[in-house]
Amino acid sequence: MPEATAGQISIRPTLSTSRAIAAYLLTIAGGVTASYGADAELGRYLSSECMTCHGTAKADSTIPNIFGLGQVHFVEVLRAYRAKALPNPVMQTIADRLNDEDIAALALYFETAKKPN
Amino acid sequence: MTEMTRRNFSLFAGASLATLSTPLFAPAVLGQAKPRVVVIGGGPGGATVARYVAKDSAGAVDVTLIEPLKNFTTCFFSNLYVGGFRDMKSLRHNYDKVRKGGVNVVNVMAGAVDRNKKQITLAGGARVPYDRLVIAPGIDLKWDSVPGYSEAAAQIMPHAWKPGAQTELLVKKLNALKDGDLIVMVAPPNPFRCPPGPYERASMFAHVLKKKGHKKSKIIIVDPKPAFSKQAVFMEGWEKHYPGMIEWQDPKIHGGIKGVDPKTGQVKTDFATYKAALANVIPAQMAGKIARDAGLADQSGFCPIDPESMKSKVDANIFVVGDAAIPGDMPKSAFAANSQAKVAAMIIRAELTKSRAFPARYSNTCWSLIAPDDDIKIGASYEPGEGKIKQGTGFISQKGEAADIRKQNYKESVDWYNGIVADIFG
Repeated sequence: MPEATAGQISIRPTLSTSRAIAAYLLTIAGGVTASYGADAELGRYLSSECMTCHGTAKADSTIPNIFGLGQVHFVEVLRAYRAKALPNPVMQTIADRLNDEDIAALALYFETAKKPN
Repeated sequence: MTEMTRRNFSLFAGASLATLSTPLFAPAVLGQAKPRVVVIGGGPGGATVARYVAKDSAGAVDVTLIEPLKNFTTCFFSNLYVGGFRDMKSLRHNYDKVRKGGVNVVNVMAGAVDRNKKQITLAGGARVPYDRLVIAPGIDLKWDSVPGYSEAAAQIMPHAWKPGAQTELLVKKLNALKDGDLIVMVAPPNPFRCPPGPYERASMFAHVLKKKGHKKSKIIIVDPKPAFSKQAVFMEGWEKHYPGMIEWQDPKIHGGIKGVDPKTGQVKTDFATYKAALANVIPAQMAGKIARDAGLADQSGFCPIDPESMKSKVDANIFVVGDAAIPGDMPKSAFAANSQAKVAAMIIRAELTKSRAFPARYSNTCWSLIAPDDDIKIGASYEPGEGKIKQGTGFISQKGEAADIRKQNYKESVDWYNGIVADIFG
């Protein structure tokens, strides 16, 4: 199976091709800004939802490590899931209700948060 | 009966004083240093609340978790033990990291809740005061919901709906079956723990029998419900992997479940009497006894909650999370309990430490294995709405999906298990 590697998030597409994902990320990259002024407390609360699955991710996990991810890239990926340009329905559902402020808050949190496990 | 002090309690519980960061069971007096949160039940709901309150309050709240078991066996993924995909040891988790996270874990059975005095009485008589109480006892079984069934009968016809010895008994009986034997599962009525669970279990039964080379064995599910979770994809998978082996009967087919006879192995419906070599009887369910005894449950047997907070609708100082709660559109699952626990923890901290409160958000995904590398899933996001926890966006596996999607689902479920048990138990 082809594997699209997007920064530290390793995404194994099942329906879309890696080329299509890469093309989508390129189209939105220009509009992404780092989350300066993001709400850190909101990010900490929202991150608890992510911790159900992402707290123990290893290199070969289907669920990727998101700790230490750069804010710009984090925002790109969450927006891509929200737009259903990335294929996993679990993440599409999670991202669906995240507005830009939520995503910025999460990006700020995970850039500096220490992986617990 | 005496008020429990830090010293006598730690002796009572066999806990090390070194693990008790602050005086926990001091009487509720003016000038107390820290607010006290007591959690009853160390499963996906309770342990998560305890860990998150302790972690996020950074020592500002005393958190005590009361759980009789020193090792918790997860009900989720126990079907994979039935199918031979995991061993029992991989489902067991201790509380060492919960303790290291600042939670005082007390391996004693909680006896009763005195809501007026805001205190718990433990087995043995010691009392534990609280400012906020979280109750997460999981389910109890309604033994008499299936005529002829009882706690004693469960030693012959296991329910295996609480993990551990019952699941091991089920597997022992499964492995002893000969080709041509009949398994009858009595499925539970709604609401019950793990909606896809009975049907994943039937899949695992079939997988084991197929692997053993059985050609004539059969599995009949007699169901009091007219439909079940992920039904279309389950039934497609059964036909694909185990053609003719699994027969699901809804009430229109069996006409009503009349009862079971543990002595003869019979399961009786209005339509037929089956002689089962293995009968798996999963009765109706209700909130754990301590929640019901505390007056927190309604006539349904489960506990109504405020969807904004997971707070009991009966008592503003008590939160109910997990299978004991009435979760609106959410299923009763470990994922749901873990999600509800984070909302409760956030609200509890806000009330006790004046930290910020945020709007409640919930989510759930349930994975089910039909056959090796053929895993299906259902999930949704949820928020308060219309007076309940209301479903938002959701998804469900579709019939005819590619094999690589199903294989990816299985890998994802294993990664999820590792993630959620770390989130619950540290």
